[in-house]
Amino acid sequence: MRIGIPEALLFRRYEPFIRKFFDNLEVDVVYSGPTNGEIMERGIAHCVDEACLPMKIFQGHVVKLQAECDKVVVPRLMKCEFGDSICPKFVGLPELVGKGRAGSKIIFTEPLYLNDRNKLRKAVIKQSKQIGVSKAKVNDAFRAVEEFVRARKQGECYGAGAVSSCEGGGENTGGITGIHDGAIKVALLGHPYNISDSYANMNLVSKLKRLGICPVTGDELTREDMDEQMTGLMKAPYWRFYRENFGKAMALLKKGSVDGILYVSSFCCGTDSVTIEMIRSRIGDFSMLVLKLDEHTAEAGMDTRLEAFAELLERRRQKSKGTVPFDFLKGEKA
Amino acid sequence: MKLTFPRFGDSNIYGRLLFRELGVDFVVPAPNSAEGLERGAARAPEDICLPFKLMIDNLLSAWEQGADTVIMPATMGPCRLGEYGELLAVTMRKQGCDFRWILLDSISAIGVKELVHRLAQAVEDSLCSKRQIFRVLRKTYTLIKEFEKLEAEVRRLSPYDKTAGSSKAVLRTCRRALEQAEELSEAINIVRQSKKELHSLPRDMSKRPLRLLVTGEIYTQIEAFANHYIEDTLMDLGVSFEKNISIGWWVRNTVLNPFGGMLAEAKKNPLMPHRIGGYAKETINEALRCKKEGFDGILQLFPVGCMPEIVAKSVFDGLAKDEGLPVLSIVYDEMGGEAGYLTRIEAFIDMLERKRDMENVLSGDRCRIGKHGFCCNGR
Amino acid sequence: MYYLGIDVGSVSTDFVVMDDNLKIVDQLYLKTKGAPIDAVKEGLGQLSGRFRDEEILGVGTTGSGRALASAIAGGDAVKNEITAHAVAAATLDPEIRTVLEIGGQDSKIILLRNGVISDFAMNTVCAAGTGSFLDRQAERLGISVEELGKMAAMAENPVSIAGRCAVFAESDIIHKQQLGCRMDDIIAGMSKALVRNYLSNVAKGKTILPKICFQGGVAANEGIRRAFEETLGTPVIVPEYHKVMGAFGAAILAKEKIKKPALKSKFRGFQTANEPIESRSFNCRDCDNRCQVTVLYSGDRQLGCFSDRCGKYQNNNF
Repeated sequence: MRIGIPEALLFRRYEPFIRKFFDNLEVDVVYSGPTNGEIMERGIAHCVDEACLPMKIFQGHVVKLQAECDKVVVPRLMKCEFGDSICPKFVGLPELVGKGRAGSKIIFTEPLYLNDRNKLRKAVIKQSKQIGVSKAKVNDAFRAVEEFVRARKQGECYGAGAVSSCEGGGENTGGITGIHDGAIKVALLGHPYNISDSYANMNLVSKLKRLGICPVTGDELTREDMDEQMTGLMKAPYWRFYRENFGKAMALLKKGSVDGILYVSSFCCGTDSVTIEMIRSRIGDFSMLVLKLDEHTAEAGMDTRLEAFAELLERRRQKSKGTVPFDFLKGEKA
Repeated sequence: MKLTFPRFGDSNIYGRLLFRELGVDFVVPAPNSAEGLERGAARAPEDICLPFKLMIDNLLSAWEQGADTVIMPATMGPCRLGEYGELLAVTMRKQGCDFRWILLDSISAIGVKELVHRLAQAVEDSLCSKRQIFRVLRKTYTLIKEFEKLEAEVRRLSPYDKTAGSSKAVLRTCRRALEQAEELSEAINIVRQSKKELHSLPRDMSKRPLRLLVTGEIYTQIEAFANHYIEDTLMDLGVSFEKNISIGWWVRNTVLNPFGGMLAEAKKNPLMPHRIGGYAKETINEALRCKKEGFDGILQLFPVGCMPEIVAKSVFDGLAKDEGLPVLSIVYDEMGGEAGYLTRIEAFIDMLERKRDMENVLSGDRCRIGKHGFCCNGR
Repeated sequence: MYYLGIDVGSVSTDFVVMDDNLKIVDQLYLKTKGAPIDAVKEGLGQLSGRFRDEEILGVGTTGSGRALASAIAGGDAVKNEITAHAVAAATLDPEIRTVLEIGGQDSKIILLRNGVISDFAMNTVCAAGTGSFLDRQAERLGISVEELGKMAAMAENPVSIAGRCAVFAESDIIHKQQLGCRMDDIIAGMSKALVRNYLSNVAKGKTILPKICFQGGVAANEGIRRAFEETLGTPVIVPEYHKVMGAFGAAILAKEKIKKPALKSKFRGFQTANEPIESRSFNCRDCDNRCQVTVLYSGDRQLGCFSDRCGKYQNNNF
């Protein structure tokens, strides 16, 4: 039996573990590969209109795999590592892409609670029949992944790799280290799938680099650093990426290690609409650019925005240093 | 302290009578309107759902009337509704309205103690004893239940009216009277009177109206402004319909029954086995029931960008294809003109009627069919 | 004996006079120009010379201004445009199973099975797949809409235009122009984009079976029809009266309505064209609904009233 794994949504984030798990199972696994135009077209054609771009892309990956494989893994992620939720569409992912129809070849739909080891193990073992391997083997694979998780540092486990994967796994630009001091630093925030899918975001990271901007993803921040920022909220946020992005934005801002914030969001994203507003309400007049991705996004418009943003950051920096780069700015003041 | 609450459906009627009886000072926000929506939308974050925009305007209007404390339900992650409180507070503060917030969460999330504590904040100015408070709460719930029963009967019976629109008129008169009522007992009596009146109307039970189910996102279903008064439209079009998600339903499931969530999760549903937030599972549950009970079609309503209902719509797409169950999904946003919605609903109903008449032809009942295959009983 | 069908759309107001045998004997295609009352009056005025009041047995109205038209002319059947278009297509040819309709501001797809609507869809928010988009582009390029179709048909190498959004499509067209592409290639590309957009948005997930009938104002555009045929791989029929199919459907519906119980028509006569008809709007403050009520008057007489939810203005001195 051939099992397909869509390389979309949170795949990049959990990639090492997913690969390890299926490698250990020794089953025939096909990965859908990075998003391309055809995948996106297919996704748009098959997905509900109202869904956001990342979901449509995911659907595209699934459609591609449905043609090639006997089963397609569409996980139902209930809670993340720390007990946070993601958007409801993740919980309903098998329904969203499978449309509740039999014969959609979708497996792995047991609810996964990444924060509860036992629940997770049981849920994964329950899948053994669908995968077509013995329970013992699934159990072994699961344990191996657990070992693997323990062996890694937190920063490496979760979240890291988003930016470096855009670069084909080459140089590490994720951390602040290794960047020369003069460059403009921008906090690159948003859902990891928007940041890491270089087809959907039109090579955003390379674009930034070409403009001389160093993207900072804040991956070195720990869970505690982020949680610290939640104080003062009436209700502890329950979305993983609300906590993460809000926390990162606040922490990086306090450290003073970035010149601006670039938030990559998908059009009509429910959780981002809240996150962005909450960040905006806290940062005052600090520069923040929100890029919205959808299937209509034109590259030219994005280039213009990024260029303007880079220029704005450059000028702000000059201004704060007291040197205004162009004379006409002085003229304006007088 | 001057209490206020956002408007949804008949919350103005219930809230007014409840706080009046408790002796709590309160204001009722101005009703939702097109201007209000514009005002709310201008101050709302991008891409937020419609209910939020309307609530901003509600609270602005309450602030103008001197309110200083907001009581509102904020339950149910992982949909956005659960984050409303926080975001509303930030947005309102930006507008210079520094409210005190009493957020009612479900018992499973904050526990009984915290909920009671929060509710106690709302009634701290009341002179009533605990016992009296409970009595008033119970009475309010009775009122909600009774009124919703009346509504359900009107929805079911209105197409049988001998004089078109007479049932609808009873409901309207009743609502007006409730808005003027002085106290809960009086209100309950008004509803009971109206029910008698409704039952005494002349009816033609030989009619065969279409039976539809209205389901979808909860706010859009409860607040008539948000769904462009779809109930009035359906009654005018002579359709008998059911709509089960209401304020009373919410109270029953979330407040009165701490295990409501668990029960809903346990309910078997082959198309959507797990709760995904919001009320998407309930939407699908309803649809499956409707299929069993022989309804003619389903109307699914939700505001643009509603995350759980998007998943539900996806399931409906599959259901419509596989089972031939007609579903019309209506996505509301503030830009949509009335005409577009109306055309869709009318066409959907026409389609169902003609389909049904066609089935009659196939089964031998030719009398209602015109020469070229269309029914001639067009209204 | 005739039946009158009126279709008041956002761009055009169409009239059809149909005889007892469902044959179109006269038709009018007028621009609405944002003044539907005037357009309806104009149409009635033009028809008054050709028919007598007694000859009209029934009046059907459809389109977004159906309620208004019905109030002015005295409508017997007031139906939405989806039903009207479907009825018209099915009457024309009972074998038609798919109706593609592209109008001024909205576009629809209607699936017919055994002459009965089995499914339909309308464009949602975007106007990229509608006639307004074509009108606008024609205007920008300085040619008429009719020429647009001819030029598209002549093109040899259609350029690719991003077509999912009207605004982006327009900027893409400008971009291609600035690259020096030939005008007819651009127009052909635009037609293709419009068709692609229609099929992926409006017709998404619908099973398109032949015969396919293409109607609405845009159906006159040869380029679009060709693009549809190429994409779908089957012939697409454009009926002779494609521009007025809505009105035709309304006339048929009027006949159905009148014939069954042999009712007398509510037709107010062609002299309506000479009446001073005007509408007045006000905000009703009587209840919480705050309806913006529009009342239609002919002189002092109330013809009709719209948008009052409680219905209390409906019967005033009627």
